[in-house]
Amino acid sequence: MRVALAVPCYVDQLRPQAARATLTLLERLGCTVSLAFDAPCCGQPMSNAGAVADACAGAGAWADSAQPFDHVVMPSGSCTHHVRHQLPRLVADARGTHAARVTYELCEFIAGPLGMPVLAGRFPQRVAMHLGCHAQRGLRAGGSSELHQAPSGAMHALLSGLEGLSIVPLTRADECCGFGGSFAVGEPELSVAMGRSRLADYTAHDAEVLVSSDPSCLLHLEGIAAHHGSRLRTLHIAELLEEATR
Amino acid sequence: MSARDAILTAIRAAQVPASPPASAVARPIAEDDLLPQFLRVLSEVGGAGIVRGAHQTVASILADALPPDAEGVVIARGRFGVAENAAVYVDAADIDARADIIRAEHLVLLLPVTALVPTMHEAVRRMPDKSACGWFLSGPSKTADIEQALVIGAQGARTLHVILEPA
Amino acid sequence: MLADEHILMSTSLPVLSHPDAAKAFLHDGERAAWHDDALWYVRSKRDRATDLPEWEALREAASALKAHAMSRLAELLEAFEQRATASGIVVHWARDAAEHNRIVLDILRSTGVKRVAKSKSMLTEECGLNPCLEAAGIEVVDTDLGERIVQLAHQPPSHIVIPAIHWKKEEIAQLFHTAMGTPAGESSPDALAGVARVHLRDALLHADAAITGANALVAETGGVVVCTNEGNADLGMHSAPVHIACVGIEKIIATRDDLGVLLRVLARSATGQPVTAYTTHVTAPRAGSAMHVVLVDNGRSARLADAEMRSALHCIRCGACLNTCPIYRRSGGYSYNHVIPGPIGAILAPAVNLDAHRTLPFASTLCGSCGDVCPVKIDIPAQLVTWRERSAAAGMLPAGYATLFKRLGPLLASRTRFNRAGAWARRLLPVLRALSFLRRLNPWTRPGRDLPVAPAESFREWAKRTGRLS
Repeated sequence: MRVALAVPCYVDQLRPQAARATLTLLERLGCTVSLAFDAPCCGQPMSNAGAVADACAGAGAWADSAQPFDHVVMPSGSCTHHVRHQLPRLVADARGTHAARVTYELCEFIAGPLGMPVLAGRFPQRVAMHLGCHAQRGLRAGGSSELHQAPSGAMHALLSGLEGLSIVPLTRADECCGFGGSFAVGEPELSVAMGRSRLADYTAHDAEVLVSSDPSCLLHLEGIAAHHGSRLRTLHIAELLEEATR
Repeated sequence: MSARDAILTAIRAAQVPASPPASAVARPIAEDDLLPQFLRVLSEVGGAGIVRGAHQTVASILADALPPDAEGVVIARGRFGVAENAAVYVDAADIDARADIIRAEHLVLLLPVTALVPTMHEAVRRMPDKSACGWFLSGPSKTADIEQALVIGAQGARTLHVILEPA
Repeated sequence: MLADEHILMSTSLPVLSHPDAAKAFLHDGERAAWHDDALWYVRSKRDRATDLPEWEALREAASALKAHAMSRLAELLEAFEQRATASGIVVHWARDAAEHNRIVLDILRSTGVKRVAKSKSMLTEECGLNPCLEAAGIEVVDTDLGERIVQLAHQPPSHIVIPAIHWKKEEIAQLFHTAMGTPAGESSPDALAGVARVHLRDALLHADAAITGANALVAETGGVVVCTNEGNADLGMHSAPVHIACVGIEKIIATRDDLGVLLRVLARSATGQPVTAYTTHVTAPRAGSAMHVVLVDNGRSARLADAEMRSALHCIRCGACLNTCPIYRRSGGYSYNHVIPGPIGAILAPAVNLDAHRTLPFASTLCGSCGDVCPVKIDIPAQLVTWRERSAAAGMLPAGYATLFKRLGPLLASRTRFNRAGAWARRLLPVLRALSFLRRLNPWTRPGRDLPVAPAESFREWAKRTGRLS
């Protein structure tokens, strides 16, 4: 299957290993991956903050880049949510509709268009799972505690399929980590307090690894963990799956 | 223009599009589970329920259930009870004064065991038409306003007993 | 007094933006964690009580009945008024808070009322009724225990259902000792509530008038519905010669069937109980007494006219969104500077004054939890985003945002500009990481969060170098 890899702006610059792992993983699963996706940013940072006018140029360029493809994969739940739900308002024509229709978050893509192939892999660690709120309650990519749903969904299934991996139960299964885009610097004390609370939950349940489908949540949680000298290993889901299936 | 006219005019000017009423909500609850559920929930909300045995009277039950010097005991008839939340419906037409219900220190409600309905959906349909005043009473008064600690017996009744009359 | 630190709505202190208020609240980390845990506990109780197979169907029905009521609002209010009036209730209409206060004051004055017992009504808080009555020489006792605590402390409520959630029992003990002469140090909730019971029953049974709110008005029956756990509303309204129910116009529902749905979702969402201890449905005053209903607009008809925002009127004031909100739990009700705090407050307040409340729509990560617990399915996150967009359009974004996004927009839209800026940012990062004095200035690092380690290459640079990208 031919897919385009659309690398989120901050992943390109600050966490390229998540994009490299996504590329490796998709090729390992038999996809032909094009890196010819030129637009750097889908416009989410501006759009979420209400700065619609400032988001339009980026969103438009992004929609243009998506035009030639039937499948665009992004290693980010929040970016995928933006493209699916907000971008068509910013690019209110066929390009926008097309972009929304063909864009998938990585785990969604593996479970959906790729038909959920068995990922034979091994990862004998205690893993705390953090979907990220835009994936969790935006894309409905996993069960939500508010709706009395147990953890579920594509990322959960992919992790559960790995030998030796145990997903640790948490006190607050899906509370927000506190990144929230501009919130991270607009309400910094709250942002860090929320992140510290999540990290304490992972530690209290003896998690060795934190895995997330959202690299922005990871940047935020890693920064707090590093500041407090935590030994918790933090991985993007692509990085974990790639490592487990080598 | 009066305030009434101004408000109604403003509301109509909002031109809210038509919106259908709610559909009925289906809910699973077995007939033979009504009494056990009612009693269980009543206990959970701090009340006590008992089905009057053949050898018992209301007075004998209360002699056991309440302290001997209990003051402010009010006994009232309930029209029906609700299994999902242990509420008993009391209508003001069945009591002397509305204040009696609320001033009671110890509230005792009498209810036929056959007069239990599953949920509030059935309960609201059984409320009498043209009732001047009625209550759904579920357990004694309570508060959790101090550090979320549940205290039974707030401004209203300190205890609530439901004595069910067998079929 | 420990609780003084939390009096951020006192007129003698400057009004803080939400971020500054949150920073102040979080300064006492232990207390903030205690507050957070207390509210999470209420959220957990809600989760257990709403774990019904038909819960989502109930939410759908509750949402539908509210939308239906709003679509027939004028007609339903008229039907209610007609039935209520026929049963002997006097119905008044108030365009705004001032008119509401004037109407209530006139009723009280005309009947020579000197002492009022009030049960919880956020509507009366919204209208600022208490200070108005007190200025007219009328004593007002708030008879909900939580409300009485904050009243004795001269504070507003910090939560719409649990007014004194921010008070520790030792502090309440001290407050009662000062205000009512209870033994110093007696801080057991049972003892404190016991003292309050005697004091509040006395106030309620001897009041000249009882003022309540209403959880619903039922058009089909002409009924006023009041729900409490403490029984204080009933003690007042069935004892006092005058009962005044103050109600927002949005509280009306069409039928008794709708009442059934409402009563199934309200307490489960608010306190995690299947129903409140007392649910009163009254359609007529008792013989020899007077009953009034004051219907209040105060911005509601304007909200109704705002198609994107009108569903906020569906709110049944259960507080579930407050309890689930990680921001509310960790910044407290006063940080919102509005009578209604939390997520619902953040979408109501900007309609009152967008400029004054410009930081509220941004006091959110848009995590979506509030929308998911709302029993009437108000899409709070969508309205937060709408307020952000309106702020941007009106030039009222919080400080710095507008400039930031104006710069970021074109930069993030152009591949070449982005590549260049990114490369510079990665070169700058190690410098920023090394200069420790900058930590305190940079909002990312200020509260204890490291900047990321800059990768040597961006993904695209790697792809070009390894020949994956021409």
